[in-house]
Amino acid sequence: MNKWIKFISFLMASLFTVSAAHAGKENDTLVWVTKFEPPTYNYYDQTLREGVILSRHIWDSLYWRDLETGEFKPHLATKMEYSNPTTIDITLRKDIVFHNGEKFDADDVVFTINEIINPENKYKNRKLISWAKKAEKTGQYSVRLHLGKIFAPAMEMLSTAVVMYPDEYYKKVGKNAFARAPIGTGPYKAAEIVPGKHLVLERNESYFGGAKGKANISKVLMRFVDEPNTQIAELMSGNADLIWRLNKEQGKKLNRVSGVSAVAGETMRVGYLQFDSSGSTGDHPLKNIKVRQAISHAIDRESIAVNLQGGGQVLDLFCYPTQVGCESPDAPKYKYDPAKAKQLLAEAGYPNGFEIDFYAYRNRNFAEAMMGFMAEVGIKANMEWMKYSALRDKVRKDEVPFNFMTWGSGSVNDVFRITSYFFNHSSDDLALDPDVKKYLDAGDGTIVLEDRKKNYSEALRLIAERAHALPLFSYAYYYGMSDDLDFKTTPDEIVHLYRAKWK
Amino acid sequence: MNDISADHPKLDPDNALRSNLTKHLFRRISAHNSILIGGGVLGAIVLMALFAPLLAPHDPFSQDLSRRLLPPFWMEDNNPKHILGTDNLGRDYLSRLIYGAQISLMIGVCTAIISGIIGSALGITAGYFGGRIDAVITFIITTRLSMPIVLVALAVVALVGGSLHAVILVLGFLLWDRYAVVMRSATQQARNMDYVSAARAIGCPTWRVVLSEIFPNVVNNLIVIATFEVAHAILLEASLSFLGLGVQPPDPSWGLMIAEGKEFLLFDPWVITIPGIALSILVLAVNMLGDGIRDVSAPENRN
Amino acid sequence: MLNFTVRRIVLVMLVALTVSVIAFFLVRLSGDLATALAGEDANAQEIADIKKIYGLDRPLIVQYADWLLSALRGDFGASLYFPETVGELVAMRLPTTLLLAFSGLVVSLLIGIPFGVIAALKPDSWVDRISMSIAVAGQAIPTFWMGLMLMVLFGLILRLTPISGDESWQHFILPAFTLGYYSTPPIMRLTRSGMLEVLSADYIRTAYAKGLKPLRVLFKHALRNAVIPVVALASVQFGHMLSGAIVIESVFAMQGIGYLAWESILRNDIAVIQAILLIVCLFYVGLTFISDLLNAWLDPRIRVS
Repeated sequence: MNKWIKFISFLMASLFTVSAAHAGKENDTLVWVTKFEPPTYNYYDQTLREGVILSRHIWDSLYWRDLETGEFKPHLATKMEYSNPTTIDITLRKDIVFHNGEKFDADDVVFTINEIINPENKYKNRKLISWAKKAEKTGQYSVRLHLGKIFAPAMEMLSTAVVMYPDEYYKKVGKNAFARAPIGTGPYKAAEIVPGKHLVLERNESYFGGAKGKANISKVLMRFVDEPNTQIAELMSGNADLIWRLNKEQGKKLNRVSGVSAVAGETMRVGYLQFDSSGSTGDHPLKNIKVRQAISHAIDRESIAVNLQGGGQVLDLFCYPTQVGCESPDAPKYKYDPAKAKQLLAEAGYPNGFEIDFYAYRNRNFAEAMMGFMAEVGIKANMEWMKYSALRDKVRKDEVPFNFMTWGSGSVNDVFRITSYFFNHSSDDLALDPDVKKYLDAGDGTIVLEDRKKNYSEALRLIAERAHALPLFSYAYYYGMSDDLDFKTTPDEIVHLYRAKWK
Repeated sequence: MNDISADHPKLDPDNALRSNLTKHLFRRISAHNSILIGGGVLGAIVLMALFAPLLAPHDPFSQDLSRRLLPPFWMEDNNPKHILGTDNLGRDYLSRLIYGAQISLMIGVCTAIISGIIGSALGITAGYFGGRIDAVITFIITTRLSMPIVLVALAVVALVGGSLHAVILVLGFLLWDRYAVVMRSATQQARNMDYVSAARAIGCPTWRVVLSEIFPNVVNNLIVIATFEVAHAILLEASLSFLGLGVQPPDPSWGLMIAEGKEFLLFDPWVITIPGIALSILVLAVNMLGDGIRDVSAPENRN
Repeated sequence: MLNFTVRRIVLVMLVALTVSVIAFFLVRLSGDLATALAGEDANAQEIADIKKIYGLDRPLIVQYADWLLSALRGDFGASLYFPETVGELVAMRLPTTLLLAFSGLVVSLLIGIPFGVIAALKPDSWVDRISMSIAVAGQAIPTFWMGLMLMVLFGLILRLTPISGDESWQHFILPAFTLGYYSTPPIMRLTRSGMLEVLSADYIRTAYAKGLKPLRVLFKHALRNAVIPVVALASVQFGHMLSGAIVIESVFAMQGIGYLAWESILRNDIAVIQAILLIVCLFYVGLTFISDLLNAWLDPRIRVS
């Protein structure tokens, strides 16, 4: 009998055993398993995080923000400077070649910028450049960028998100063909694209290095798996070298498995509670500043960050600490203090609490924990769970008095993209506070760093004092990786694979 | 295989009558058994749901983030105060399971009632009147059947936002097809029975014929389908929750608990296994009850 | 027969039209398309721009008419996200789902028919009971749970099958089993009751009485007739599997149309959802049609009536 079992299992094993794992150090191929496949590899025509990450690999920006120091360093350009507050003069490197051999010069820069800016071309991520007005060729290797109006984070954008396409190749193949055979100058080239299956990146052997540096690992295989448990199973079985966006428990437990480990990586995505303090959505208790302060004291943000998320930092200001302008020493801080929260509620005339609709779209467990904390001081929050587009739309129609949402600032390291946006009386602004807007406008309207910082600091103080919104904490994910891999996480929510190497 | 004829009583004329009788008796008893077991388990779950506040050892909503994911009693490091451990937010898992029975049963039963009303109204109307009305209703049924249910439910829940009411209504308005199909053909049969024709001939108003002559004849089918739809709805809610659009917390439906436990599947499988088993037992009990009722009430299925 | 076919075709077209109307409005109302297009951190102005560029500020009914007109010309439009046209996209993804549904069906027939036959041969025996209980229990387990458990057991612990993906036939083993197991009970039940009925029919008794070999009677005469309704049911089950594939595809990371539809619902990619709903709907109606024909063709009794 035993012989039979052995025989059958041998048969099964020889029939079904998967061919040796293709991941790993031996064949110098990094397998990264992630959730979403960018529907198109034409970077400016999509908004998915995975696509944004690829833009840093296949293409390059003019300058490059150093990931450690935050300093803007010359990359495709040798020089970039303001000739006046709305004009930037750019001088390019002369030795850059695209993956297909095309030479890089001013025509590529002018073409890329003007092509994306033009609304008729329907680029979904046009917003990455739409702050500029037009690019003008001033020489074979020099370009003048006209902004139209002052845009303080221009340097930041030109050093991160604005990457350069090859004009001749792009014009020849067109938008959609480019999406399946993208060409750039970056440290990796897209070697094989099989939509719905995988993407293979190969090291660009003739890469100029620049501020990014050359890639270490010769090949990257990107696979797309929706289910996190499946991703973990792939990592544990050696079929993947890197996965990300794991939660705390998965990270902790993964660390006990041999051959793999997990690290928490902070991101600049900020979680926040937004109150309709202006009353645009109708009459409700949140119009009362004491109620908003009570909620701010009622929620133990530290506990959620530590216990549920296992990383990230509690935020006192409505921005991410590294963002330019994100400082305000005099702003009040809200400590976890349920007794004080109750007292504030009583003072506001709600000694027994009240009931309110609470909208959210991600991290159900965080939202649920916050509802639990509010329930302890008597506030009954009824969860309304929606998908992002529906909720964002509802907020803009003034139908949401109280929401828990997040904002990644599009990886822009400047308060312009978060604080200024949420409090400048746009449709996402529920506070509509003229004092705050005054300071923000002053900060946005200059490129002098000191003036910007001073004004933003005042605005951030007012937002905190008047409790228009409660910044919760920065987001953190766990990254799971094979022990062979040496990879450092960065807060820009971008996986910089060209920095990875084998141990 | 060679002794088929000996083994199969029907093929052995001498034995046929006696064994047929035994068989029917056996069948009856076994149907009763499945009614007893299914009904018993279901009854226990219903009682658990009704008396949840008395049975639950803790408040199912009271969280403690420092005591998250405590393991259940059969594992090491368990805490005797929490027999089945605690969930992701440090809430007592047993209490949530007990309260969860309320939500899951409510979803199953309410959905079955709503879809039952819609489906039988359509089915009886089509079967009774026939002709054009039948054609129109058949068209509606075909349209409904041709829409993939999970996708449509997802789209609707995405539209209105997930809540207990939304899930019940969406499922109620989607799961009526089986009622309609079965009620239609059952009504067609009943309609041609002599006494129904007689009632119609003596000029009874339509609503009375339907209510007092047709309905009692088809109500058996209705009950059988209703039990299957209860089970179907409970499972579908779990699938919706799995894909992220189901009942909203903090209400603990078993489907939602399974969906929440999904994150911990690899390393803490008990989190998903406990509500998973509870849900499977519930669905199994409901299905057994349905099978039993069908076997007892529908002679043609008894063979 | 011709009349029947023509009526069916008209019905299919009407159903398809209704489904497309429902799908269009359902998806368009479930969240602002421009907001979804612009991505998570887009501001209000950027979204207004997108709305204008894509003509999303026109009345819904106009947008629907627009879509319908091009659909009638065979142009299902462009996906809002993918560079491929919807037609190309669906053509790329459909084979995976068809293969999955087909192998699922094979699994459920391979389990359902033999067990149904055995159960019918020995009704109320322990074989009957056990196979029925397994079937019923199978239906009580949520598919995603079962899928993940199988993945952990066979993929991670035993390392017999791949964990996820759809590159080779081995990748289809676990998903097909998960999908097929769930549809086994109806097939098993129908086989069992069909066999019971056939076995008690006169011609089978006659066949036995004439002394034909029992196995031959069983397979040549009984099973063949009992299996007719099962074949019809199987074709309808195939339609159900197409739509049931969404959860399985998500669990096993298979890029079929089920997963594509789910992704597209999340980002309101209307043209893709429309096309997929239409395809599933056409498959369903088509398969019911075929099952009716099969029934009529295989079973002379139906043909006569």
